[in-house]
Amino acid sequence: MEVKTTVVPVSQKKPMTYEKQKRLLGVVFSLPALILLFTFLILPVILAFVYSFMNYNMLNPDGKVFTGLDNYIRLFQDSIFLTSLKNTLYFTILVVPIQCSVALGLALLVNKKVKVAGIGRVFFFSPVVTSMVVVAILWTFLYNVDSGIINNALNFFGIENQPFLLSADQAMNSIIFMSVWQAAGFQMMIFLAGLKDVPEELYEAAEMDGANVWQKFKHVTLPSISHVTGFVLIITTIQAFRLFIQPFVMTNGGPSDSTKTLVFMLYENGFQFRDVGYSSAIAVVFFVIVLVSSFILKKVLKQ
Amino acid sequence: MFKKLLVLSAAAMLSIGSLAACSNEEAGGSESGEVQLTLWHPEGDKSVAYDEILKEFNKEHEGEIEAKIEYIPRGNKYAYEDKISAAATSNTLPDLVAMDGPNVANYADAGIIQPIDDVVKEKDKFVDSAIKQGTFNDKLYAIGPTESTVALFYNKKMLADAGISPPTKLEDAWTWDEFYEAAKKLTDKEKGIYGVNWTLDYGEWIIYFTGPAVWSNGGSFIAEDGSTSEGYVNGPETVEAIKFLQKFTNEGLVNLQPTPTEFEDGNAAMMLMGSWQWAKLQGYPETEWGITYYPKSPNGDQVSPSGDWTWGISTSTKNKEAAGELLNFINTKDNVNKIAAVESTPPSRTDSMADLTEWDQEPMNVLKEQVLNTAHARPATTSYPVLSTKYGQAVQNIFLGGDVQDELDKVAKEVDADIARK
Repeated sequence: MEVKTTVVPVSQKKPMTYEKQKRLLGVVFSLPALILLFTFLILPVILAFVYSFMNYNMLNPDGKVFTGLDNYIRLFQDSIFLTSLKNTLYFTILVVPIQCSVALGLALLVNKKVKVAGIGRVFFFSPVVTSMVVVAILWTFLYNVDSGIINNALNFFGIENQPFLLSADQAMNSIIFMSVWQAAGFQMMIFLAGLKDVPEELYEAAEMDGANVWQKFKHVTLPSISHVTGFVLIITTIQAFRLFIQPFVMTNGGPSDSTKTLVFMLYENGFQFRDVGYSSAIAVVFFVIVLVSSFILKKVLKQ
Repeated sequence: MFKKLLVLSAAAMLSIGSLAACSNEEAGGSESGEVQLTLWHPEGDKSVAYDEILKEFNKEHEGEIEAKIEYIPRGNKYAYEDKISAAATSNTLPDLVAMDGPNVANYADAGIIQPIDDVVKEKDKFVDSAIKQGTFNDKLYAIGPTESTVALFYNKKMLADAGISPPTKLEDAWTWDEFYEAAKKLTDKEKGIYGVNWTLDYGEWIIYFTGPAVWSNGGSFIAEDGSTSEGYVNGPETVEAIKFLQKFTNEGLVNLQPTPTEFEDGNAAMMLMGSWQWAKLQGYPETEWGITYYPKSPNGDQVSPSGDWTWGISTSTKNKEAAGELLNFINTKDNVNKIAAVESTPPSRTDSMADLTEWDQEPMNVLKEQVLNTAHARPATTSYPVLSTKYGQAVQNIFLGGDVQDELDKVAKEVDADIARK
């Protein structure tokens, strides 16, 4: 009997509406993801922002003090920062168009309904699944000034040995070349998916109108995959800005800082020199640069 | 646009990962009344000796102390130091931490290792350079079983064929000019044979192996009190020493991108390398190998670099007493002998030196004589990470043809800026 009396008020409570239930369920389901997102994404960003106004030695977390804009003032007077910024922009401006056009070319190449196309797809995609560290070490050997395979090939054509990674003029271009080789396969796959979606009828109609191959590409293929192109351009740009592993493994930012990038500088100051405040300031500036460029790129692509 | 956050969160995850990796070990122990100790040491050949020593220690202290060692990869950069930094921020350092000599000052200053004057027994048994390296502000912070040195290893046949007989006595050590002449004679560009091999890594190696040339010439890297590097790292003596080394790379007597076994394969006649190279050469018994002294400046005495991995007790340990006991155990004569033997690194105890008779015979006596007579520690400064990194990058540029004075001026500027911020 007593049990019944306690149950009564509960049953009198208004049942949850369907809408409310749905909302609660949504929150519950997304909670684990939100917690992770907050811990590993949002919190570090907030902390980086706060630390960028501090003098903070990594080994002495208790000794951190607010120093206002000191880190930012130092940053914009630092010649290495300007060099790194220049190198990062140079890499991005060259890599994005080259890599995207190579990827599109490859995608067109393997978008044929023949057996060889499948092999080609595997062939061009395989560098992507290989770790960048491994690829970078291998290319260091390929670029070797004396015994590298590339120099051997050049010798065969009567060109003398090139210093590649040992020269401040060639190191960044060498890294650009290998980066395109390594990553183009990924964008190729995305383009390929886009190409598969282009209706066959459009090509047939174009042929009826007497369009040649180039005209078909320009007036049918390109407009039909424009949304894919936009996406590829943006992710490639962001990836390019983050250039780190190649210079870290292959050149250590040298020779003469010619391959030092923003992320490399961030790492060097944060981990090696243990200057968390300064590297956080670099991170904040880097974040703003990437944000602004993506925004501009999106605007341009919309037009 | 949020990809940048990934970089940050990756960094965060790195430190959290190391936190998770060691916190469970640190927390343990109370259950059975057994004290748990953890140790960090870089991955390498010495692990064979350390595994054995810890097994013995654990057996001796069964039910009281249990020590566990973790070997951490180092790479050709500063990966091990990065890990220590990350652990220091999250307060998850092991009880005993191994560190390369020059980092002692930095760690002591930051307060992540503690003075061990009252812990270490038999301090008087260690060579001076080992004590000096572990001392910061007149207090001992670290002590290690081994010392190190860099000498000139050579291929006996190649030198004999060229009619070169390298010095066998310390007082006869080659001067720079003699060394240069020999290297020039031994270089055969047609056959792709280089006079000397010296490794160029992106870490601590550069300052370590070029240091003796600088010191021998009367130069240095930083003022004795650590207040400035201007006029030291870019002073005239230092510049002269580096210019001498640059001559080798400018004239192609050294390969800038050598294969890892260039010397062992007979494609280089000599090699400036650490004492551990002798152990490696034993894997190539078909060639006869020799060792001679690090060449000296015409203006000074012979000098060799020193400093090896050394042990300190972290400030976050809860068991200083047990940690101290293990520290002393690692540094007993017998155990020092064991560690020294695996990698042919010279022991840092004088009585171990006397025990290991092979160090009296040719050519290993060269290494021993250098450790006992000409060892010079790398500078003890809290700005060492900046000095080591920037100096290393500058020397890399110099070897590729950069201007010596300009490059070293840049190092002085960066180091002094770092000193000013501390």
